[in-house]
Amino acid sequence: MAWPVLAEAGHWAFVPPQKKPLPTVRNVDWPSNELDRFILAKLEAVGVAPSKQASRSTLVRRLYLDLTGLPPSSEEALAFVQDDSPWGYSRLVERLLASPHFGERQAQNWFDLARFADTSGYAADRTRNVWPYRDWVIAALNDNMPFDRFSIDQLAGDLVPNATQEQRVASAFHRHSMQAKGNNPRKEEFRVKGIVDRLQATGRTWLGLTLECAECHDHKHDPISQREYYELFAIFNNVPHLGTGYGVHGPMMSYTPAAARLEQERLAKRLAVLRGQMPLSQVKHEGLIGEWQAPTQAKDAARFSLTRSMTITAEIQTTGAIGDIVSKYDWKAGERGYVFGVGGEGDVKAEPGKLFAWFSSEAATFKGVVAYGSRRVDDGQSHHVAMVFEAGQSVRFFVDGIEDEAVRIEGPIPKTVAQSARGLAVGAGFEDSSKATAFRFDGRLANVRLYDRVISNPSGLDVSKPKVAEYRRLAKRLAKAEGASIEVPVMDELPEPRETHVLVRGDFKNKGERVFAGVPKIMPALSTANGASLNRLDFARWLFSGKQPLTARVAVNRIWQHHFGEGLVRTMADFGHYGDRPSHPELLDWLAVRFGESGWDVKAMHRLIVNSSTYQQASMRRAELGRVDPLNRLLAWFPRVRLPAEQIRDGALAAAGQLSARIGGPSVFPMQPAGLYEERGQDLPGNSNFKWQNSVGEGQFRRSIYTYWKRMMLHPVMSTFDAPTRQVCVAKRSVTNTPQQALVGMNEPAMHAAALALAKRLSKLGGDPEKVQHAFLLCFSREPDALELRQCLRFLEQQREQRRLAKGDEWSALAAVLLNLDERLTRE
Amino acid sequence: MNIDSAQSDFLADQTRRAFLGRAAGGFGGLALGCLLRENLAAKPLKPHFAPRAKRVISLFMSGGPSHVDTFDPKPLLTKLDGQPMPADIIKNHEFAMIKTKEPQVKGSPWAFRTHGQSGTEISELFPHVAGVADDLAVVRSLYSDTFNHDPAVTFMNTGNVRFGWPSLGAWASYGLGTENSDLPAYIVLASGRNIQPLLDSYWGAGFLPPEHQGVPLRTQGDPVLYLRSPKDVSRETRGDQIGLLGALNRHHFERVNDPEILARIKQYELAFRMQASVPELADISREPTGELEAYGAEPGKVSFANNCLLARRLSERGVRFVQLYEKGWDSHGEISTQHPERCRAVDRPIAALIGDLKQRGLLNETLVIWGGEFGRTPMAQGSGSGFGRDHHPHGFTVWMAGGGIKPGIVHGATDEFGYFAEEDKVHVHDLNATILHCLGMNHEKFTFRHQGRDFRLTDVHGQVVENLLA
Repeated sequence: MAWPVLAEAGHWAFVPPQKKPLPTVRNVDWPSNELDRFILAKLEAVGVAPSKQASRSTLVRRLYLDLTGLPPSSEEALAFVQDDSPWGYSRLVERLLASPHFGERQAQNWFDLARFADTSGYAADRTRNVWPYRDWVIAALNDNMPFDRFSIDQLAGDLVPNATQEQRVASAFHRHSMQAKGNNPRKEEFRVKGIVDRLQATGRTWLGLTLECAECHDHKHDPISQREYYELFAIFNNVPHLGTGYGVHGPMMSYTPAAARLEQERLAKRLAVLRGQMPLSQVKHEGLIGEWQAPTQAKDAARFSLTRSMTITAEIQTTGAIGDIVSKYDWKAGERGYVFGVGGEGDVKAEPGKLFAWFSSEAATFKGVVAYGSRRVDDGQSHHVAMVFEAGQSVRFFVDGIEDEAVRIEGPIPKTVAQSARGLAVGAGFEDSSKATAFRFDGRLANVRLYDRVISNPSGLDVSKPKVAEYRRLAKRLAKAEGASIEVPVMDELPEPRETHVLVRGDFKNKGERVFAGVPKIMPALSTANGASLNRLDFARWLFSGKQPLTARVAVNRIWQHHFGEGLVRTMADFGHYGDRPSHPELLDWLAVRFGESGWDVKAMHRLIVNSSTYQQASMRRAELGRVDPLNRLLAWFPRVRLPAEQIRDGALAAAGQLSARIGGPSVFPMQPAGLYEERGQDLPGNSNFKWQNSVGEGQFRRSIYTYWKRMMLHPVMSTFDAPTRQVCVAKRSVTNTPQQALVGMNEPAMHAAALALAKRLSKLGGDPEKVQHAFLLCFSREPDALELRQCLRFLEQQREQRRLAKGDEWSALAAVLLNLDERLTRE
Repeated sequence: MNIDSAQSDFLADQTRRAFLGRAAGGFGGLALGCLLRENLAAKPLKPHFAPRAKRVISLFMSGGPSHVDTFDPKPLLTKLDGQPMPADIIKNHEFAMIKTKEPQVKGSPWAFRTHGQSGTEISELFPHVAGVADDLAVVRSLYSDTFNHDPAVTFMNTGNVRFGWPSLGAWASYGLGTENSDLPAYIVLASGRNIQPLLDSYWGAGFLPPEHQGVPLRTQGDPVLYLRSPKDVSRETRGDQIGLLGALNRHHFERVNDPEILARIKQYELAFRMQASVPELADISREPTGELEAYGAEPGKVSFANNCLLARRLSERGVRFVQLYEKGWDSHGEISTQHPERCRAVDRPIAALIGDLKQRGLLNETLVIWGGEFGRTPMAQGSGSGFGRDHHPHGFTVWMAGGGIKPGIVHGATDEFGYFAEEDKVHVHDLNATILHCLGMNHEKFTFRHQGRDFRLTDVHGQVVENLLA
């Protein structure tokens, strides 16, 4: 079915935004900036005056919560309330925009779009190392990285020329699509669904279009054909999908935190010098039964069929991730014995570039041990490596004379090793052939020595010499620094794009016509200069090409939603025909153009909004406007918005004085009820392999943005207050008001502990009225009025006299009430 | 403006919007979930026709029970036991776990007998359920689209293999509201042997307002998370706290005029009542001994029997949708010990539940559904006495009983191998359409506007199976 594209082109969102002249207003004193003119003009048109300015205590709490996600301390609140200089407000705005907590709060919104979570999703729901991405987003927002760069790095950071480690980390935005374990024929289906997810997230985040509606058929109400959907699909279809069996995943990268990286470089340099002075390989030990200086194959099978303890040492220099050093092992032919080398012959459980050894006590089927080293030796540097096998006891690896203390051992260590019919191969291995032609060692191989016994010091280093001792000390430190590296998911691009077809009715097995990367006709054209296939980087840049009508509108609308609870277009992720029409189309366009002109300056957009008179209005609902504007789309008053889950918990911790202000790092595990994972089987081996262990100490008190985000079973405090599971991209959270929220607020152990801590904090102050006043400052940034004070005092008295509470308990009972008041849960 | 008129204006406003079907579009209508619900409870969405069932009890056998060993007798399997499955039947089929090229037919180790006036054949694994055979409508021709656990459970519950769609229970809650404003409309109970995890999204609300999601009622620890007050807070003090909360909140309402505050006051009061009512409800120990024995329930344990008894108590109190998950049916091996173990856990309690509902006059208005996410292959996985069966979505069995359902019938059939649904095939969408029909909802008209489109439980498919209706 063909779509009437020309007619559709008239839809407002597909027409590039234009800055129209500012509207004229009668009340020229009210506007603080351009934005207010648009708002006021519409209000005047219906004869409604804006609300008066909110009180200073409301404003200070509003600004802190909106910009940093944290309530002001009592001192900060008081200082602002008492500051009557005309510049107090804008000074506070600048201070908060510069706060390192600004990035944390804004990142929280972004993570709903990025589907940022600590687990892979689906039933297996395994842990992934994604916190470096979280740190990247927070830092980028704090550094006020322009929104175009912010977006391009996340859509295609891996493709940017000379991509830095940070840019590759940023590209994880599209590695947050859920990934099933993939232990069955549906591996390709889940790969395809991952791309469907990427398109949906891209559509919702940057285009404000429900692209996903065109997966199975032409879009029903927006001009995007199914064919065009798969042309976009082709752009995202070129990410390697690796592994087999349970280990299916996308590209990974070894990530080293910046401090550890510097330490590593420094140590490695010094070690290289010292290593040259070490007498590695010079000492020969008792029990030497063979020595080779180059790859070869000893035909005599019996001679090297060692069945008991043995030691192998060698000098290697390679960049190959897989290669055998010594092998008498042919798994495919059922001639197993022993093998030592690099990369585990490419086995799924092996790790490329690291030492490995296998010993089987039976030739025909594997029965024995596999051992994997923890350090990469394929760095092109010369290394002395050694493997010591003690029958029935241990397998140990040494690199440059230093024992690898993190060797992974799986299976029982055989007391006797099987006798393989294969001759001894040096520098290669066997794969169903008596000739050693597989797993060739690529690089330099020398001084390969085979001993028929355990050599306890295979490198022969004499530790009594000071230089050797220093060498060993530094090497151990380097090993520790290297241990700080983790594997993180990133994007990567296949050298040749995958063939992409229309998938008929969205069925991954039902391939229709072939398509090539492209963008829908309704949008500005995109082509590469040399006719090469479009890739993600081209697409990402095209979003910011200036002709794009949607990107800027969608972005400023989201910032608007952050401050006003609703966007100018309320359907955040749908600017299409069935989406909402903007309440102030000229304002939306004006902001969009301004955003682009500013160089996509995100903080400037926040600054513009919070400095407006519109933003500073009081939040009293004006019932008299119930007929004119019941939904407050004209913004005649400032909307009260219930806080997100994270701010509800963080605010309680802050009022209690418990909150840790530390930024960044791995996720933490605030307490949750014991047995919760077990009763749902979330801890099962083979699935998530994961047990929730409550963090101790500071980990209980970090901001909620650092809470381990388990997609299949979100922390109950988060889910109760409507935090999304982040299985899919969410542009706007639901907000509910349920009895479970009351139960969490009053009974959840950490919330209760916060009430106790708040009470304790108050106990250091003077009389009851002073304590109540301070509690109000901590919770609401204001002092109680007479009625509130009276009721609180009466409650305290009632608890002491009627309920006979132990001394101090009446204060925690009151603190719990204050922490649960609607005003505390709401940004006013 | 006084509180009452603010609230009623506001409610009128919300209700109108709900009926306009635009509650999801970001009207902020969502913000008032509870008000909506309370209001809907008073004035529920109008059923499309007279409902035959007021509520549902879903007995979900998670992992996939074998149809050919329970409710779908296949003598041919016994006859051809050990022979290769005909290639023309299984050609082009992939299996989750069976990797051999020539999987072998496997007869059921259990005998089938006819039962009741209806003569429905049921295997010896379900002796007690067999006793209520005349109450059941056994559907032997169900088929599904997908053969892995989580997509298949998700498909049965939401009509979609992917996450993000509302579950049947959430639809029921959304459409019919609750009959008891002190309890959630959709409650989930879990028991059984841990093999696969249960995921929150199985009972999720998807794009419906989150208040419609299932609330797990735990059988150990707090029945509802955080239901118990902290140790140092007495019931009296909690009452005083709720009183002060209400007073201070109302005072603030007078300043800012936001009805959301009134909603919050009500929720705190409801939570306070739940703290008393839910433990009483969840405490089965005061049931008469005879009742406990009939179900095989033992207070304090986590068991399907306890959950069946709880399901009856919840239904009695007007909970719209109760869903029981019994885990551990995924018998890839050792089916001859695993299936009897599961059947022992569920057989007597199910029969007791049906009998109990009937005796209390509740069965004719309560729809009971039994089944898993798929059946199991007529071929063995593995060999010898340790054999099992693999996932099988092409034809399997569910049964229904109670409100709106014709009792004592068998609907549809699989082929003689029990492989494909063959006669009167029932797709998962058809089953869901039928369930909605029993609840008085036309599945084609029962929609929710989300992202610019009207969504339904049955997507663009589904046909009510008229033959199943009483």
